[in-house]
Amino acid sequence: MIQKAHFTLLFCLMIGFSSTAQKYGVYRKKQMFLGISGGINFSLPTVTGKFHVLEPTDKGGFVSDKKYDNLFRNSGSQFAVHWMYSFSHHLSLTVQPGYQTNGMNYFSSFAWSDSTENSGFKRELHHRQKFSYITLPVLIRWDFTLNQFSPYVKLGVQADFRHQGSKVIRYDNTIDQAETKSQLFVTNEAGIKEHMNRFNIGVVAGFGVTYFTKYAAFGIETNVNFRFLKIIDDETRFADYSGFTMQYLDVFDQFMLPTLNLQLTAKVPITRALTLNILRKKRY
Amino acid sequence: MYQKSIVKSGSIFVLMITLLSVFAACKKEVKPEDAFVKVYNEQGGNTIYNPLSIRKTPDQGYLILSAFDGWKIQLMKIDKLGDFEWKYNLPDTYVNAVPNIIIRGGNYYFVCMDQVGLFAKVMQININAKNATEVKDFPYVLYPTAVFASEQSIFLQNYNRSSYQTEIYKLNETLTDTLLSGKVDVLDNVEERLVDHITFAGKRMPFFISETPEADHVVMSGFYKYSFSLIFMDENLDFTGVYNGSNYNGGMNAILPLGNSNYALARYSYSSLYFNPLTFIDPTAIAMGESIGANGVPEIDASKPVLIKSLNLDSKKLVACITSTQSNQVLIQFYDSKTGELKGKKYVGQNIPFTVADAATSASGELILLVQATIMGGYKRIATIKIDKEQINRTIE
Repeated sequence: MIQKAHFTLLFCLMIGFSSTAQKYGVYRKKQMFLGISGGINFSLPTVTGKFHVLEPTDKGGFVSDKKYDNLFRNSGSQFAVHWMYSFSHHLSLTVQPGYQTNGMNYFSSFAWSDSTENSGFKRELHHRQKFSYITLPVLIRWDFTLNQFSPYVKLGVQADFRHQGSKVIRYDNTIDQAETKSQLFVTNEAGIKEHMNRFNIGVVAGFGVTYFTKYAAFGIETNVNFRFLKIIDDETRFADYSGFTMQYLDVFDQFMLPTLNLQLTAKVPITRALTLNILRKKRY
Repeated sequence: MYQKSIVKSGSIFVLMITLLSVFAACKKEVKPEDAFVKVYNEQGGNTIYNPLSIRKTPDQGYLILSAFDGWKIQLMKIDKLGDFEWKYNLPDTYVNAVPNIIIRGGNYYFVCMDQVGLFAKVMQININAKNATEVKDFPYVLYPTAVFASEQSIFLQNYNRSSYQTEIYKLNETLTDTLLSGKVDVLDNVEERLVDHITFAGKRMPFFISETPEADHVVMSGFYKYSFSLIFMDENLDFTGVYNGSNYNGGMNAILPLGNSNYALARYSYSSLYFNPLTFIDPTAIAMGESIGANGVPEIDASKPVLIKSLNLDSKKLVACITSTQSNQVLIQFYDSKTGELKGKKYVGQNIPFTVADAATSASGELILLVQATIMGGYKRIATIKIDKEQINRTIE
């Protein structure tokens, strides 16, 4: 639903921009911009190491393998301060210190049987995690045109500093990979900060469009962030800071967490000139 | 002007990121075998497991001896990651495995009991064949209660239901013959208590045997003259002294001889547990156990097993007192073995009931706990918790 709304918004903006007469060119060279950005993100956990607490000892025993949600079900959000300096009319440096929360969900289940028929015990657990970071992306931006409506691409690095993490488990007693509302229990939110690595670094690449007006610029962009380092701290995996390890027989796998974000930006030029007007009449 | 400062700032940032990345990459690599928590599960919900003993094997894995459904016996082998390899349920004629797997000459043994005759049987564990075979039976050793192996000797304790005596036997290196024996009077029929103990139907009595480092005394916890007592014997298994418990409601939970008649010990009186990491005990005294000074630890559940292990951590010699708390956690208290000073505490587990059963330490300073974990509200399962040296180091800093 959110996804659909964003594509609709993007489409409307593009139509709006296209319909604007391109009478002016954007004078960006040696200009500095300051603004804000915010939006949503989607994460796709890529498991690099599987870990589990429950070890089946009988042949054909019930092995619970975690099943991770797909990209668009792992949603989060981010916001940032947006600073940009243009070396030339096309090439700019962008720094966007911000705060990002990545969502990541998975599902596990367990079953036991009793000698009495139909008196077994089943439990299905839906694990919902939030990983929050202070982010510091530094990117090079290339604008394809000097027009007010200016598409661009970006490429750079992003450093992430752990801030906090939280986890909630929603569980019921029917194994059907869906939450059974009539049986649903929800745990308290537990902190998982100590299970996360303190620092991460990765590459960021993205594209977007900016619409420049006389005094401000508005845009929409999407970025992909691929972190190089592990998300989970191997040293604290079994330390059970959340209290969920033994109670819900849950321990984190090791995984990477590539993220796709979609965000809106708004920025204003900061200049020493008396006028802030960044638009110039086109000669041609 | 702008551009120069921006390029300069950019360079500083790149340098900072590079340093952080190098720092992150240099972080000590944690191997999966260094620390883990595993619960060994079977789908049958009715089976209750009571772990008894864990020993390291040459392949860096572990052998686990357990009781299930009362006094039946199961052996389980796990690998160095804690992953299950195999299990072997012994035939029903073999019951009441006595805690402690014995290692002798590279072979693994345990002592159990004949289901009908109630006498002791020595079993050898065949790791390659994934089973256990009977080595020897001792028809005159009824109700085996504890077995212990020091570097020099192997001792087996039992209760003789005919003579109302606690007996102790010194076994040979292959556990096929008795070399010495000693006896003390109980003067009371404690068979009912013993049946509760071996079938896990009632209170488990903390039977144990130990030997002083000088090998001049054997010390054991067992029934003695209407009480559950700490009994001292000399190297010929002749009685030398005793610290009486208060009837059957008090006694010693565990003991670790430190040399020169110094001991770390845990004793109980009804539901209270007392601990002393370093105390002198006269092996020739006849006294009450309560006369041995010790500090009460109210958070510990005195009815559950207490383990006292020596642990060498780099140059530090520690005494680890491992207990189960009233709030169902495992509490490990580390003491300096020379001064008795408390160096640190570590709590393991939360939210589900844990009962510690045994622990194995290694020369490299690692510690693996064998516990009974009650999962999902009611399934009593065997679990292992491995704690690496770094975690212990952080606890005692």
